[in-house]
Amino acid sequence: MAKKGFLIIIIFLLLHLCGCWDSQDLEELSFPLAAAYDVHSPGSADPSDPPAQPGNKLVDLTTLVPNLAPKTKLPVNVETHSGVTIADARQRRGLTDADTYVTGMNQIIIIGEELARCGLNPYMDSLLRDPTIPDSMYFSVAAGRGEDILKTPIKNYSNMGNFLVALFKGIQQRTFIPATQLGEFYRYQSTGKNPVAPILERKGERVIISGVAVFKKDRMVKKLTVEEGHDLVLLRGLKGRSYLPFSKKASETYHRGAVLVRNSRKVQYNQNQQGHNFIITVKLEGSLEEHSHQAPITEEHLQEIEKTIEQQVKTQCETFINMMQEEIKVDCIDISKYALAKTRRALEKEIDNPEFIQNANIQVKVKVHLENTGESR
Amino acid sequence: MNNTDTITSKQLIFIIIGAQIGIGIFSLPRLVSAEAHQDAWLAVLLGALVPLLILIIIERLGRRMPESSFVGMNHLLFGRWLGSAMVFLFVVYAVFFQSTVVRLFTEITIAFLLPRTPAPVVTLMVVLGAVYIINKGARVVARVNEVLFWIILPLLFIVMAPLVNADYTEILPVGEAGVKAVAQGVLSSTNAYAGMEVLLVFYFLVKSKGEIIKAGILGLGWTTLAYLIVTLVCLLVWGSETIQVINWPMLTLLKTIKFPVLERPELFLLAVWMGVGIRPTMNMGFAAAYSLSEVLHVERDKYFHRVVIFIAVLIYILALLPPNLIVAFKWAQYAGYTSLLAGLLYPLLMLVIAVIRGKEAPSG
Repeated sequence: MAKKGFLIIIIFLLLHLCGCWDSQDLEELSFPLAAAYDVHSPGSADPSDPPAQPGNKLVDLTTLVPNLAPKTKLPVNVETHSGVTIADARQRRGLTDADTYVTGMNQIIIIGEELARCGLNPYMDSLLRDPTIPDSMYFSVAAGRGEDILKTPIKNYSNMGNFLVALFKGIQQRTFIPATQLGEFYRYQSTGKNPVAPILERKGERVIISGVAVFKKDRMVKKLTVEEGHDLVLLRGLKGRSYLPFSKKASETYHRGAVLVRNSRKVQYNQNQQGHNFIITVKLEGSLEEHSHQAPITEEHLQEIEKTIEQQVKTQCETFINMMQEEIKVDCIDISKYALAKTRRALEKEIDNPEFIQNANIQVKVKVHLENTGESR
Repeated sequence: MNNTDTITSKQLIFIIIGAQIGIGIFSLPRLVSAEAHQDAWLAVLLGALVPLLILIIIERLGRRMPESSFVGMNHLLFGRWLGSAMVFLFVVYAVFFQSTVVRLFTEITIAFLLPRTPAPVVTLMVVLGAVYIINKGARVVARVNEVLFWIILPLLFIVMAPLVNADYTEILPVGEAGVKAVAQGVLSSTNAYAGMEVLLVFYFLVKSKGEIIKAGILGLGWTTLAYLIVTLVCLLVWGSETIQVINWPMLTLLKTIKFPVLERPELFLLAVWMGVGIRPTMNMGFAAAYSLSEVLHVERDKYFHRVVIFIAVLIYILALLPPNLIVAFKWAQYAGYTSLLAGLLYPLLMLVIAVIRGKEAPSG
């Protein structure tokens, strides 16, 4: 009798393993690939705007969903919905879209410029709370509205989402631009840290990476150009690989060329009566890729090229550090953590004040090592 | 003692690991780093001293009365009525502790895997699975623990994968949190390390009593290693500050990486952990049911399953009582503190009384 009872229990278990409540038909699901968050002020001409508190902005959620149904005219569906919050915008989507969204497949999140300057945490809270949303999705800022990025038509890829995923996936192997993931954006809001993110911009019928956004915790405070972004990556120690052009005038001849290098950095910190002192050593290792000089490269010449690049990068980095201390006033090169690693308790209350990074003594050293000259000498 | 209830010392290793590593590992980094900050890993390491002490006390106690069962020991030391009352209290503790484990297991399953399935259904599945295994006896419980243990090893490697995002400065400076903070962190880890007290019941069931200390140390060593790896990886990747806003840092950690085929490793880990996570319920549930059946003189072969079902019903009802996750976490915290009473003070009291009264079980 007991054995039969347990058999009934086992069968009951097996029946429930089918997931009676959570089973979903694949054809009723949508898998958004990319999303963009923007804001706008209510009271615009759009009659479908939901009611909002005066003074509060409405959020716009744009989602890009590849159309997986066979024989459809549109390969991708890009829709924008407004709401008081992101979750409100999602529920409004339910009024127009027959399918259930599976947020776990999202790979790109783009934040509009206006929203990035407001402070992101209140708007992005749902991304942190939802267990289905991956923290490995790429995070970027749009110059202008994120909606415009997703609605840009694309020729060589099936949709803009696939293009952006491919763009970010290998970017650190092609150039010195950060590829930030959502989890990284959250991690870099802790004491002594500030996140950065690439900026996407629509230029005509193309979407390009036009710079790097610097955040003070969750609020964007500065847009850097691509060249400044390169310096940021070198100083911040984000591992990457890129071509680096160099030029030098020797006698009446102008020598130009480029190297392909990968970067790393080392930071030394100490505190004395002068204050907080940082020595950042940027190390570049790679090969000579291009040179206008037509004779074979000697060892001395290679060393001269190395020194030229060292001086060039040092000057650029020092200029960037000046700008960071005078204008940005935020540690965007991630060096404060070395001070915290020595005296966390003493510094944690003051390390995020602008005065800390403004008054820090930051020196840069650059070491370049060119391993080879490629196939030719 | 039934033949199906004897276990080897090797099986005891897996029972101890199974009694300790369940669901607590998911939230352990958050709980400990709330007190010990960047030294949370130190607190986790030192937290292992508490179950080690419990192991030594129970082994010494068992050595004085090797042929006595847990119930027999209580009767011998406290007298029949008080001894039975102490056993009941132990059963109540085990039921309460396991109800919190089952409830947290349900919450994690609903949050990550089955958001639409009602909590009573998930809880029922967990409890029924445990009931089936407990009913088969200690040997089957031990064997299931052994099988499920070998699943943890590859999972630990997966947990280490996010180290690509590690920042060593997050655990520096070492020791700056202070002795008091680390001690509070050790106290916070009691919930995760709870489970060694099942040895009070399983001691009597082990064939080679002389190998119990070695088995206990090995089991505790594996538990400590797993907890240390998880805490260190969470600290290195998230930092003690960011961990505070995450309910289950170990799971959220795996959301930061993806593998070529396995894009969502946290879902894979959780699906596998479904079996691993019910081990504490199995082990402590068996300890409770076995002790209760002995104190009530229930015929083991005929009516043990009724005692098991009774214990399971209590666990089920208690598991559904907390109205939300925040209250469930609070109950788990209290369960951790009561594990110090049941696991440390209770055997210590028994040992002291045994020494004072010179009590040893008559041989033969």
